[in-house]
Amino acid sequence: MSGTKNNPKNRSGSHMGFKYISMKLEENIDNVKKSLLHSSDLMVRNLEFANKKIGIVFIDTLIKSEVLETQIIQQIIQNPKETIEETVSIKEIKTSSSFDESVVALVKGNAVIFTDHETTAIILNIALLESRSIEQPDSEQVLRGAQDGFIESLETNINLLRRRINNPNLVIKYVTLGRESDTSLAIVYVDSIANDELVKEIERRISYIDVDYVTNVEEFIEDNSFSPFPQMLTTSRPDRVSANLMDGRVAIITDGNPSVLVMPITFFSFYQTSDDYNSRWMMVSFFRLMRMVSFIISISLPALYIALVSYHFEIIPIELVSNVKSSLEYIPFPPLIEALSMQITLELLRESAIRLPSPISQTLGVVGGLVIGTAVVEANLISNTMLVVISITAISSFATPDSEMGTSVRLLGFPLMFAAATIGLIGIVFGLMIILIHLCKLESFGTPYFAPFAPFRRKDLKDTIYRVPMWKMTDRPRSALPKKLRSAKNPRGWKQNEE
Amino acid sequence: MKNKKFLSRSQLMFFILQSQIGVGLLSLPYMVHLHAKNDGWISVIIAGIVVFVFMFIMWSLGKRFPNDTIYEYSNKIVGKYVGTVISFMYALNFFIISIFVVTITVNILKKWILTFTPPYVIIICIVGTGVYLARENLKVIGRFFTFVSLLILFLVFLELLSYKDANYRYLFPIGQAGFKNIMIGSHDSLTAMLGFESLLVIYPFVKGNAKDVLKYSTFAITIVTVLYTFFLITSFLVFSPEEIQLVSEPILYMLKALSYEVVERLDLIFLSIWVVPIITSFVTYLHIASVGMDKIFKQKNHKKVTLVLGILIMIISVFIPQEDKIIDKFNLIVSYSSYFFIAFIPFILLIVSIIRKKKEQNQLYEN
Repeated sequence: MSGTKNNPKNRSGSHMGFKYISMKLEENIDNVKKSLLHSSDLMVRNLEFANKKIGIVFIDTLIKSEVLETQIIQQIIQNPKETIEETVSIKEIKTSSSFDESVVALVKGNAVIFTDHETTAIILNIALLESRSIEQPDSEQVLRGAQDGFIESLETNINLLRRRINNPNLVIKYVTLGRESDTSLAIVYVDSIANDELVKEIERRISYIDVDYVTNVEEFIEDNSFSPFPQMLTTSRPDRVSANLMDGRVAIITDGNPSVLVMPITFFSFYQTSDDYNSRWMMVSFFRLMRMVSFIISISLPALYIALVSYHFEIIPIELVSNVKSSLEYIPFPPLIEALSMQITLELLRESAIRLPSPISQTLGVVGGLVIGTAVVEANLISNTMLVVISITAISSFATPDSEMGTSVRLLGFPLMFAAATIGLIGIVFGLMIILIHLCKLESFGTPYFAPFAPFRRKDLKDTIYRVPMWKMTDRPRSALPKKLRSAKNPRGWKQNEE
Repeated sequence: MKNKKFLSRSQLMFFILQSQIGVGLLSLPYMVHLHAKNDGWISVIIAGIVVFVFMFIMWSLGKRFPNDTIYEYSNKIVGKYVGTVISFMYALNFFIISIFVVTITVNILKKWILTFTPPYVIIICIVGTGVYLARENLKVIGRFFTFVSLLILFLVFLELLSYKDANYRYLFPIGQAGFKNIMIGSHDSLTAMLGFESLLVIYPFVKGNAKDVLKYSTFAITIVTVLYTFFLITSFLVFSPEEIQLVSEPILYMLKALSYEVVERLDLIFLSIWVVPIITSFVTYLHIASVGMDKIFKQKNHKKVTLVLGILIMIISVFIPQEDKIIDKFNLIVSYSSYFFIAFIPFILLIVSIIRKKKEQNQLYEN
């Protein structure tokens, strides 16, 4: 972390103006009330302890009332010991002589006990952490394998990771961000595997985030914001994150956000799923190839169709020409307009269905898909073949395991369509070339984005467009520059030692 | 000087490979056939050997100055003034060749696919894409060149399809054209193999010692020679000697005849993909030209220079009329002047540096 700029102690509470805890209990409680602007859920319980007046201050909506009642108040009244710390049965107790720190602790769900004639406050952590139960994330469903997913609570998420990686080298570094919100972030990595330079670089970038409120740090720390391709993996699956941590990558968990960022990442990570490691390698390799095909189709199929029907009819074999020609005959628009309007209709359908409750979105699917689909063809607005092309493109783009990548790829199809409409096949080639150059240029935290293809690393191909059997993956991918390259010795040694 | 080693050894190979393979190949069988008849493939092999000799001279120069490009060591060898003149001539030469590549590409594309498209549209596409890549450092260029080398395999596969019309008797008798004609054919092939002179500039950026550079450059030249010989033999096998005199781009013509259930006119597909190796040659020349101009005019980095050169190329190419006569003239000038740059000057520089015992100690082997 660089300098004191992001030190939360310096930051929060600086506007309150009360630095030290006063000797008088009433004055302290008044100051707390002023600091919290007489918030309605601020509560004070006055008691007596060892013949001194004490005041327990807490925010009612942030604490576990039961714990407060039984472990603190009851203990103080019924069996007082020498000091308050010995009396209460709370696991996390701090004392502080800073008034500001006490107030910040209050809003984080602590109870603060002020004692008359004493300038230290006792801070007791009894925060109430409301969270939903652990479920499988909707956007990353799997057929086989782990069914749990991250939730909004940072502690629970770290617990899910720690349970998978029982390793003292698993480092959890808390960082607090957000001038006004004090959001907690955890940087997670395995110290014996992850590259030190990488961790340093990530911490350096995070230290520059100086904003009032933060929910997702992705766009603050990514290498190139002006790229259609996501440069960090966003996932809600603990199994995926832990597998990536074991490859020497680094994860950032933000409190209140079930999406965990994983970095550095390569293009092909977006075409891997958790299922891939729970199924047998031949099937997986086939589906990996399918996904690559889906990438090529969703980026270039409409453009290719436009180029063929408007420039290069001669490439289409004669038997097919008559089919295409007859479906195009009564269409008044050029193919580009056809394709654009259909693509936009499709995007609208997708965008409108995505946030609707599922019964309504089903209706939308019927109206949008079936009714519009048949009607536009019957009205001779769009040709049959174009409808086929656009549907295949849409299906392909949804076959991308990562929805963000799928959308980027589908959007990249638009400029390609324009290029195809301008100079045909050559235009597509130029368009694809520019995309490829961009991919070669792009880096994610200092590692090439399009590895292992550019630069070409033969040994890293094993888990990209196909997947070799698990026991052959004895090296970690080089893209994250791990400290330890070897990840397995000879898992099928039993075969050689057979008698 | 640190972190200058951008290219790995295999990337060096693909870099030279992609720089060499370019637009020249498409009409090569026709050009070679004009003199060497059906012994043209011998010409290509001879040209490959000649290329190796020239490359060896460049390598010997580079070996003496492992941390410098030609723009720097020419100053060290022959003094500041002559050196700058030589540097400038090289940069200008690379610049002119990039214009030549653009012109000839536009010519072929207009002839085959984009008949009615105005030339400036194609020029903007080529130069725009080229500048986008050439303004990067060699690391990015190397990655791109390596990846697109996959396409060459696909193109070879396409050519293999036309073997169903092959007639091996067209190649015989071997040697009928005579030694002189075969050598003239070699000259034509050499023009199509230009691009290896980029070694003069990229040498200091390669990771590895001098031996590796020689090894991988030789690999590249060998692959190119074999590939060209393959393309030449294919077109000589498919077309009879009489036919080949009529078709100026035989490699495309023989694909045009093929017809399949799902696709026809493979020549258009071939040409579309062939645009990529063409662009790579263009990028090489643009890059090394702008690195040179950058050194001569003492700029911070070559990005701005590349953009300026790109715009100049665009403007000049638009004003070059698309007539066969002018393009042939252009071709003639480029093909003869390049001997000056790929053989004569490197040779003189090498001799002078040996006589003057100019050599640099190699320090950059810690990583």
